[in-house]
Amino acid sequence: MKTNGKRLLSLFALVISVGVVVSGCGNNGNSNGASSSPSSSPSGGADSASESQKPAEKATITYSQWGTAEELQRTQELLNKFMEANPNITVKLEGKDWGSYWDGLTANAAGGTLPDVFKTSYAYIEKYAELGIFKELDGLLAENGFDLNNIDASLLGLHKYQDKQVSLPIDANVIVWYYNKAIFNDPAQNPKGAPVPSLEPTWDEIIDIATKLTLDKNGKNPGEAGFDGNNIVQWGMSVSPGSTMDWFLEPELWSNGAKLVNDDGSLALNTPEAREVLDFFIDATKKKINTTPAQIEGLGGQVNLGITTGKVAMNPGGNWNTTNFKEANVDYGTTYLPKFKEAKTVVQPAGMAIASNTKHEAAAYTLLAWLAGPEGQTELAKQGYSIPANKAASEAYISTVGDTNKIFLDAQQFGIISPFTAKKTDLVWTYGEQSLKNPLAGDGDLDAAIRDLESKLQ
Amino acid sequence: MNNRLRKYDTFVFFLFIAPWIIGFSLFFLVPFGTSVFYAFTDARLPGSVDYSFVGLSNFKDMLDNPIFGKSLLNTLYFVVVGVPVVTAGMLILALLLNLNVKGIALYRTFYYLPTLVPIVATVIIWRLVFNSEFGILNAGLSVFGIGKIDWLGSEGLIKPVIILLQVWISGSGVLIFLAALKNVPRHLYEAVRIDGANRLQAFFKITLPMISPSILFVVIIQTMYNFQMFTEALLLSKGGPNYAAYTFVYNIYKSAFTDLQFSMAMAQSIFLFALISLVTFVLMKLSNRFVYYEGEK
Repeated sequence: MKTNGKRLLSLFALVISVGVVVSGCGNNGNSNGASSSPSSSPSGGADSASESQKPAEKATITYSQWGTAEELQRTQELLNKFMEANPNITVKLEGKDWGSYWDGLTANAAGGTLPDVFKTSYAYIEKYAELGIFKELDGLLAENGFDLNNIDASLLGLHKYQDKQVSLPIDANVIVWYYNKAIFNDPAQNPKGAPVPSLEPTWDEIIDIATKLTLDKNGKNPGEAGFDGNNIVQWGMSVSPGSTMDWFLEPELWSNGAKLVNDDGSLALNTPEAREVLDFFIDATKKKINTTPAQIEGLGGQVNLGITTGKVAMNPGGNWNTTNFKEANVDYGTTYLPKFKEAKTVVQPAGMAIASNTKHEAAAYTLLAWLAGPEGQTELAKQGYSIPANKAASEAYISTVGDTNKIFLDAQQFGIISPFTAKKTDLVWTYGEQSLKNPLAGDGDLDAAIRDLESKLQ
Repeated sequence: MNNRLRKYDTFVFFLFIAPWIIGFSLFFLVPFGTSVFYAFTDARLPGSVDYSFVGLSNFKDMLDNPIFGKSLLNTLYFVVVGVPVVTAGMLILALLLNLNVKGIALYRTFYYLPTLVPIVATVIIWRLVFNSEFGILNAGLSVFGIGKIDWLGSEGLIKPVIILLQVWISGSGVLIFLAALKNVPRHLYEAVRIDGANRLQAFFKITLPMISPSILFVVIIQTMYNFQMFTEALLLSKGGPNYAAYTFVYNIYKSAFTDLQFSMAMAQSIFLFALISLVTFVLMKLSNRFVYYEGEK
């Protein structure tokens, strides 16, 4: 009897505990659903059809983008303005860093939990469009009379898939060359008095400056006898062509009349013009004027933030990096990317898309049209950090940024037209860095690396 | 009555084991079954309804993948070289921590602490320590006149560095060995000492056989872990340089999240599952010859 009593007690305890676990799982499931599902809505989850017909109905939608904490804060300010103008729509911002953003988007697509509206990059349009995650926008834009004339046709083209608009460009990032003014102005860090680079510098000019600004622990530079290359305390420049193929190596190849990939997608690095560029960077690194990959790693790991360490005088970067420089209190100067023959750069238009499975199509479209339209683009321009894609906001951008950041608009004239294909994506993000990172820093056999890459891209 | 009691006991047994069965089914059986299913399709995403059956095509493509061979060889290196080294490292640490010296409890705590640090944080620390330019290791070696060694950027050194990292975070295995060492009856050592055996002989004749079940357990767990190595390779050197640390699971991750070919990733996962199962089976079979179970003899 006593044993039976114990058994009953343990059975009761088990049932209770299983109940707790199951109800816990249930709650979790609900809360997960509420936080990650794009369909969560205080209105009780109206279906897309009914919402399309009643856009005034309250809706909560999610908007996802990549960015630093400060960039996300600025986006939140934009969204606050949108919500003031559209009180029926609540937008929840989900932010990630660049790397995890795309993995997250893939996981969301796999789990059917895509954000209603999300940021896109022109480089990923084809890849994700093939998964069917984008809502086709042509119909929605036409129905609502969205003025596409204010957006450059070439920018719109980069956000199309099979001739259908799947994303709207919102800003155009551009790559330029930065220098740390403090290093140039400090006689201890610039003992030879190297001048700041000109607006459209050649590589000869940059190498001359970088040589003078590369110092060993005794204050000697690579052009002087007795320079100790094993004990460098300051580098004239920091570039890593092997790990920044899409935004640095490619425009530099174009600058010398070469290409990264041929029109048929095959590797184009074996031409004399291309080899000249590759050998140039290998030589600069071997001469210790440029940082090695290990030195970049030790300086924080991001080549475009080298000048924030106070140990690098010049590096390439995007217009978005001005945020990082301001955060690091770096007084920076800007030029176009150094050129071999002609100045070239990369313009990277980011865009915005609606999830194909959104249950809040009307609200999602309202947000998209506001952010990509004159109103949102003007607010974006007024923040002074992003170059608006919509021409209706150009004046607001210029009046906000003044002459300091006008270079980002001007640099776009040098933009190369090199769309991302599946093979180029493989080259840039899968095989290229592995094979070329060390050889382009003078460590390893470049010919073998190029042959290896060619075989992988076949 | 007895029959009813037996039925009741069976019922209670299954009731108690139900949470495990439910968890196992939900989080292993269902995903595993789904993976097997999709491995024979061309689905780009799991759960996709837009797919067709492609037979063994994904497995053929897997073999044609240019990184397949290298990632498999790297993974086998981590198993064939890494597992014995890490297990030996654990055992040596456990033997040291089993010594009766002053403050041994403190040492045991210190050696276990790295295991409590999240692997991501550990890897970041190691990247700083092993950085060829600014790392503390090269700074220390320079005192002895040794030049800068590119630990993380060299194809020949990156795998040994990762194995060393595994020894660093091997506290759990050390704990298992320590518990096993504590369970070896003292009288056995006294007996071999009387027979004239030295410490080394005592170790090979008494200690090793007595803790052999624990060794088998650790070897199997470590083998499975090393077959599935990912975090260390990804965070320490992104699988590089030149794929020197590119593991099989890293390649699966790439297929799924970079190439967006989940069906291919599932085919690779099934291949790996079969490989791990085979190796574990062989290890279990071979263990009959080397493992001594006191209770069975």
